[in-house]
Amino acid sequence: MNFILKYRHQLIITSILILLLCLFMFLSPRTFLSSGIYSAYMSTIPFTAVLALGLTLVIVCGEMDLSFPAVMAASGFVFSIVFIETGSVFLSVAAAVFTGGLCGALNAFLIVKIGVPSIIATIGTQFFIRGLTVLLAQGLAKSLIGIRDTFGYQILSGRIADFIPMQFVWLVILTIVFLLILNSHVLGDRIRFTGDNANAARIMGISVNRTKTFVFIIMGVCSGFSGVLVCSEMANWWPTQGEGFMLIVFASVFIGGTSVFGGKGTIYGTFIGSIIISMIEAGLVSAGAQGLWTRFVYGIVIITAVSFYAKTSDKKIGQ
Amino acid sequence: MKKIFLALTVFILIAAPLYAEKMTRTGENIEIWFDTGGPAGGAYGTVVYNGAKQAGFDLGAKIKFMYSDWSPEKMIENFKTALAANPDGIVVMGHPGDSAYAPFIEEAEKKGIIVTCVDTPLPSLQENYLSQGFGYIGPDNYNQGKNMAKESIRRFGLKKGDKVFVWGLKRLQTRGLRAKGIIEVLEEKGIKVDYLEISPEIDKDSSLGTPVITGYVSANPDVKAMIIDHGALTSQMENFLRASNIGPDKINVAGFSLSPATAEAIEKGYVDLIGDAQPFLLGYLSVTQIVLTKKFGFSGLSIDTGSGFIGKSEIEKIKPLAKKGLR
Repeated sequence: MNFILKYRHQLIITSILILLLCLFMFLSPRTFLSSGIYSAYMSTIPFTAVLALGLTLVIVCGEMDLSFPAVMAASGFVFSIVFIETGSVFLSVAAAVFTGGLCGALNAFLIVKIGVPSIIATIGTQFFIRGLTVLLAQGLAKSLIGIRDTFGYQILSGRIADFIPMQFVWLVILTIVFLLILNSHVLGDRIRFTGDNANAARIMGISVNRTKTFVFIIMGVCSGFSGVLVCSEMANWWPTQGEGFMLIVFASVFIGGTSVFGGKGTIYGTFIGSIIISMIEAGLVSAGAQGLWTRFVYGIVIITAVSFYAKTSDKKIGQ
Repeated sequence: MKKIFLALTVFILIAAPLYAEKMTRTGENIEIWFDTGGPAGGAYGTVVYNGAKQAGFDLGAKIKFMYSDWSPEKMIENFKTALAANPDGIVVMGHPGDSAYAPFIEEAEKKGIIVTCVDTPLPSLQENYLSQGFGYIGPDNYNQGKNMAKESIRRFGLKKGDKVFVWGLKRLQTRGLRAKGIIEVLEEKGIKVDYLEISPEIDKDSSLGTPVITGYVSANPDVKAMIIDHGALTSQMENFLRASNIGPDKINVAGFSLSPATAEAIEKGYVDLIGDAQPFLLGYLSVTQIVLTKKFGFSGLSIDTGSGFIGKSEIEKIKPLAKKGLR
């Protein structure tokens, strides 16, 4: 009983995933009982999930980041430019991730040092970073077709046994690292305390500013890495990259059970939430439904998940 | 004598240009506000922008660019901003439709501002203000869709009973006419159409489209052709098909708008046919239209740019231009 109570959020989200999978298998056995669709899912889920992992830390810390689609595009642009100029995938990844971290540091500076609320600061940086990127790129896409012949590509986006995309392996590694940070490391405690009550956290001796700076830099790094994964998988960069991710990344985090008020959240929930959000549209298409159904089903899943969380929150259970 | 001749020559060289009629570029002192339609940096809008910029440079006209993220509301808002600046001309994208634009364009025409339209037509307003230089440069979406379907039937040898996947944006009133045209022609020929509406997320970011294609082709292995009514998604078809373990030339793929990635996909056989609206011409010719109307009083031109098709045999010549954002 204690186990069920302790892990109720994780159990809810896992049940929703299993239910959806069973439904899709029933509606479209040809697609969902063969391996191809799972390989395709594993190739695209990491784009959303890597962003959602970073955003989970930000939201648990009681903050918000709306700039990640632009950071993704900026980092992807740096990745493509460095790759075109040097031909080195590793150098390009380092430059892109550094750019992401730098954008995160800019957010942190505005929020922690200047005192701008995070939602406002990151709306500003979203425009600033996207604008600067488009300006530097002169609005033109970059073809990275040569990347497919490199060893670096095999490390980033190659296929293990012609089935498991390497980006999924990176996602699993990152998920484990984030699980350890949030659940088994002092950093995780600091993030949760800061998100729950920043003043109380200060009294307890936690450096709230340093903790917030850390989560925004990590979010920037995650955005940069997600941009790298998109560029590598697609062998292409385009100036509007990342724009479609805003809502689905937030949806992944919230159906995963992370509290919008901060202080609470699960990395496992976010990981499963990203899988659910990423699989709905293709599941419906395979079942023969119109694409117009996608948002409706997103809505049902999100409402179901957050209603369960509201009903089973600590307060309700204590009553 | 020699000195007199030399003095006369110098006089002629200095004085003659002063007396000759001064030739100026046609667009000098003309200011045009131009709505590129999409977001700054969007693939299609950038080519339109490059065309207008080139025309501005060639004619000496000053162009101010606006961006609307393909939002009809933003297009109207941009038009009002342009109207307030009282320029010589305004180029609009016709997406909001005749009735939405009518009061503002009427106001512009009253103020003597020349308005012309690109990409999506405004038939009633064009009829009203044709003599004041209101033209239309761009594809006729419905005809372009029909032509694409006919060209696909011809090139891919499609026949009655074949299954074709169409991925489009029917929900957009005027833009959706292209998908409507495609579907009508295919269904008239007895071809089975599986139509799928592009979701807003995939519309914004094509990298999210992979599982949709994988899901569809695995559920429908008998599909003969795919018509992708979206430039950015067409450019990603190679990636989508590779992720679905579909090799080149296994499924016939047609789409719209050329980009460097689409050019690569055509060369490799993942995309077989492109309907090209030639967006560079939208920018170039609409600026030219306003300049010519302002300077010489010409009335509005109607030019259908959507008749271009590009396949494997044409791509080599056009690919370098796509890289520069000109095609």
